[in-house]
This record gives sequence, structure tokens and C-alpha cells, in this order.
Amino acid sequence: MGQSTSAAGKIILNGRRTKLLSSKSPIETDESEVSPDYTSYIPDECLALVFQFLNSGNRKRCALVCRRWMIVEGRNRHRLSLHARSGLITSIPSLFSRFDSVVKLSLKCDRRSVSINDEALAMISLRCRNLKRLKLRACRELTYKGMATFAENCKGLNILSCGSCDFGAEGVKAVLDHCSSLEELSIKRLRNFTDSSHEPIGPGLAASSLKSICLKALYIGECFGPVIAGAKNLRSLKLFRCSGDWDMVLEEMAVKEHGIVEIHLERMQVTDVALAAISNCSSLESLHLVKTPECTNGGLAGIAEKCKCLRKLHIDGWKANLIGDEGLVAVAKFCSKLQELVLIGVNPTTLSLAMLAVKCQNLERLALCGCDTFGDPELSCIAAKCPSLRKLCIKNCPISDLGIENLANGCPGLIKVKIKKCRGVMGGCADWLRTVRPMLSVNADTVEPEGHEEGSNDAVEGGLQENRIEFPSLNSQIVAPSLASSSRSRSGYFKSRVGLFSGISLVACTLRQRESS
Amino acid sequence: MTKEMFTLKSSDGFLFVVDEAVVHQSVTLSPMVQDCAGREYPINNVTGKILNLVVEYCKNHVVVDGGDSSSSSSSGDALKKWDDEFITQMDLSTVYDLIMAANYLIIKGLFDLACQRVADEIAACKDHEEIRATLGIVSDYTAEEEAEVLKENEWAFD
Repeated sequence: MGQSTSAAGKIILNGRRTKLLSSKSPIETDESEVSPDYTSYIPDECLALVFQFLNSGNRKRCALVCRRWMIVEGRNRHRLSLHARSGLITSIPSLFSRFDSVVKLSLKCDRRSVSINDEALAMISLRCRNLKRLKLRACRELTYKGMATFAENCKGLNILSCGSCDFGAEGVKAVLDHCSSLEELSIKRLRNFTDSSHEPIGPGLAASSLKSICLKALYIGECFGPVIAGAKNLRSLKLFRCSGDWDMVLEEMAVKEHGIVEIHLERMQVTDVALAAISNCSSLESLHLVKTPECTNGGLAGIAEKCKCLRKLHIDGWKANLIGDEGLVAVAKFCSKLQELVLIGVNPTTLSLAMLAVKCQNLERLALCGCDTFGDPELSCIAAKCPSLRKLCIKNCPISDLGIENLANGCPGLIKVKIKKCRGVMGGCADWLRTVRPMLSVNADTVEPEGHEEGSNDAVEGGLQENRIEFPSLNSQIVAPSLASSSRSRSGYFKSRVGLFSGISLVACTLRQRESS
Repeated sequence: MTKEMFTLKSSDGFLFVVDEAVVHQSVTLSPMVQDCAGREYPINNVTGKILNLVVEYCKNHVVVDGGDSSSSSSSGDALKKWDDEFITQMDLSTVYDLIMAANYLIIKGLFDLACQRVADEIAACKDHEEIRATLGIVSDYTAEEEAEVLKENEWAFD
């Protein structure tokens, strides 16, 4: 593979691309003579690494270029996502001889088609013995038998994620019974819990390996209780909208596990009993209590007292008003490591906020949404007392320009602020804030004093996505919502004609994504 | 602090005198620092034209001792810009040569940069025929084989 052997040649391409010349001066050849493929000098491993910079669509095109490219691309494809319709079965042998190094596989069926069946999954599992990750979506024809065969062949599985499948708890059990390296289990909308699978299932061979469990929208989810309780090294537990009584499950979990770091409970039936159990998890760093209206200040205070490592706390009180100042005061008192606090539908006053500001010296990120008691005095309190605050997001709270003024004079470390749907904040205020704090990235929407915003599709009442605040995803480009279309220009810039600062345009800002800590 | 200088010799006899900081960017050449000061070190499969580019890259990527970390983001941006201009102005055949040189010399940054350039070239093509035309590749597929691959491709998500 020496440079000195490269042939002279010239190709004229479409008039658009550069000419390919050898590194020595070319001898003009007949244009009808085919020029050598210079990429053939690149060894396969290098070509494979070039392909790694390409997405799946581009890689598919590369496979069509020539045989060598197909082989190199196929052998070096580690991640594959297939349409898991029943017809796939006939292509399985050729697909998996082409893609013989797949380590992460996604099998997704669309809702209208019949999915692959057990036989197809078995065939795949025999050809992907080294599979580490499997994602299944809407593969409704799969039964627990198919899952068992799969698990027997792919014992090294690390991650299983299944959504809208019908193989019931037994299907999951089959994987747990064979895959002793399983670290992550994520199950959403699993169906076909037969009578026999009301029986609780245990963590099987995965008892030591399981680190993360996520269950969503299961109706007999408690049968997974022993999996949760039995996973000795569990670090992360997320439960969303699973019916049943989970207090007991969490009690059992807490007895055995003290290493858990992250707990997320959303739309779950859990009471302070569960929170008391959680308070025994002294390594807890991140807690999300979202729309769990039976949890009260007492439960939160109990956690605060004993979980001193808490860094992230998200509470969506759903306006039930059972969590408020009292619980937050306890958090302030005991959780000095708190870095991120998100309050939705909770009503804190300066009583707790002042304490949080003073005692949680590491508080960097604060968000409040739909907090009816968070007005100018509360914002001013934060502004005056939070030295380390870097990011602030306020949505649909009764603050006004006055509070923003005080903010401008405080929070010395602030780098990003987002203000949305706060009716008391007038159009020009954001611009003013940008001028007085040039290092501050301000992301704000306008408020139309005259009329209700039309056509806004993030209605506060919707409650689904609207009230969710996640710091890492605050990088969406903000386009002013729902101004009448005539006043919106192509690029998304627009002029505000209202407020004290008429004629100043409000500029769409992009928040840079923050690396998760 | 006197800098040690090293002489690299390309396959076609060109000599490049570089300092230790440049040599250390190549995992392959790094060990020579102990042995080869003052002697010529032959690099038999890289021509002068390409070695010149490699050295240019490495010189620009030398980490300055005692550099001010607060300016690192702006100098990082400037370096990225230099990298972009460096690689974009080359024709593809030179880029391939660079890939192979960086592969042999094990200079990761340069290798990734050159691979990314080729990948960008591929990604800019709207279909496989355009990729062939751009990179000068002749297909060895029969019509049936190509149709097979196309059909198989349809099972995979983009």
C-alpha cells in the first residue's frame, strides 16, 4: 500500500466535484479508461471508521455503492433498527449474515401490521449471540416462549426495553431467569398478564446485576415488586402510572437497598408510608415526586432529614397543596447539597424560599411553574439570597416587571433565565434585562395585554407535557407563541408593539444544552 | 529550555525537522524521542507531500505549556476553525492519504478529522450513484444483487 504505486488518472465528475488526482503529477489518460477507486487503498478498518461518522440512512446508501462497501459497512454495524413486521422472517438469514456484529438491536412494529412472531425472534437470537441491548416496540405476536428462547441464546444482554408488548410478566421473567448481566430493565404498557402471572416474579439471575428499573403504565405492576426488592445493587427506580398499591413494594425495597441513588414516582398511588421507606435510602441523590397527591409535607420532611445526599428534587404537587413551605423548610435545613430544585403546582412562600436560598449554598438550578404564591417578593428573595444560582426558570407565576428588576440586581452567578407565561411581565422587560445583564442569556415570551393568546397549543390546563420542566432539554428554540400570524416574520423575529418599550423586537433565544451533572 | 529536534524522513527522501511536542502527537513516533535525537527517522510509507501536511497539523495542535485555561474556549474555537479550513481545502485523494498516514502514525485528531471529511462528502450525496461518482468507485454489483441489497435495506430504519 505505498504511495508510489498509485496510478495516474483523472475523473471529471458532474462538473461539481473536485478532480481526483494522484499524488504524483498525472499522465493524461483516456477518459474512457476507468480510474482506480482510491478508497480501495484505504484499509477496511479505516473505511469502517469513516462509516461510523454516518447515520443509518447514509450507511444504507454506502452499502449500495459496491460489494466491498456493503461488506465493510455490514460487518461494522453495531446498532440496527428493523421494522419488525411478520414478513421480516424471510430476510432474517441474509440480514444477519450481512449485519453480523450487531450489539444493539431495535425491533419496532407499527400498529397496523402484524409483528414478528416467536420463531422470528428465535432466529434472530441465534444470529446475535452477543447482543447487549434489545428494544422491542409493539411486537404483539411475541409470547413468553419466544422471550425465553431469546434469553437462552442472548445471555449477555445488558439492557431490555419493551413497550406495548403482550408477553406478560412471564415474558420478563424469562429474561430475568437467563440474563445474569442484565443491568437495565424498562417496561412500558405490557399486557397479557394471565392468571398465572399475577404471581410475583423475582429478579432471577439478574438480582446482582440490575441497576436500573423503569416501569410505565402497567396494570398489575406490583407483581414486579420482588424484582425491585430483590435487586441488591439497584441504583435507579422509575415508576410511572402503574396502578395498585406501591407503598408496600417501596417498603420492601428500602429494607434491602441502601445504595439507590435515583427515584422517580409519577402518577403513582404512594403515600407518606412510601416516603418514610424511601427516607431509609441514605444514598439518595435524585427524587422526583410528580403528581402523587397523597404525599404530604410530613413525608417530604422525613426524606429530607435522612437523605442528606439529595442533589435534585422535583415536586409536582398537582396543586393539591399537601406539600409546601413545611416540607421545603425541612429540605432547606437538611439537604445542603441540593443543586437542582423544580417546583410545579406547589405554593412556597418566602418562608421556605429564604431558607433554601441561605442554606442550600450549592443551589444552581431552580424552576417554578404554576406556583400561585411565587410573586415578586418571592423572586426578590431568591435574587437577594441565592449566590450560586446559575439557571432560573419561571413559568406561569404571578411575578411582574418589579420582580425582574430585583432579579437583575441579584443572583450574581446567573447565566440563564427563562420566563414564560407570566402575565405580569411585560413585553419589553426581557430586553431591558438583557441590556442590564449582558452576560445573562434571557429566554422569554411576550405577553399580549389586550387579548388572550390564540391558538396556543401549550395550554396550561392541558397538564400533560406543559408543566414538565427538565433542565437538560431547555435548549428548544423559543418562538413567540401565538402572536397573530400576520405579525410574525419568516425568521421568527417579530416586533412587539405593546408595553413600555414599543418597537423593540423580542429575539428568539436558544439555550445551550447543559451537560447533566 | 532547549528543545530537542528530530528529523523525519519521508518515503521520497524529504526531511522534516520537528520538535518533541510534534513527535509526541504520534503514538507511533513517541517512543523515538528516547532514541533518535539527531538521527533521521524514516517513515517509509508516507510521502513528503503528505508528511508535510501531517507536520503542519501537529504543529498547530501543540498544547502550549502554561497555557491560560480561561482562554481555552476561544482558542479551542480558533483551532477548530483552522482544522476545518485545513481539511476542506484538500482534494479527496489527499484526504485518503492523510487517513492512511494518520492511521499508521496513530494521530487520532488528524485521523478523525480526515475521516469526518470523507464522511461529510458521502453524506452530501443524495444516493449511492452520486457517492460512486464523487469518489470514483465502480460498482461490481449485478443489477439483481443491487436490487437485493436495496430490498434488504428497506427493513432497516433510516
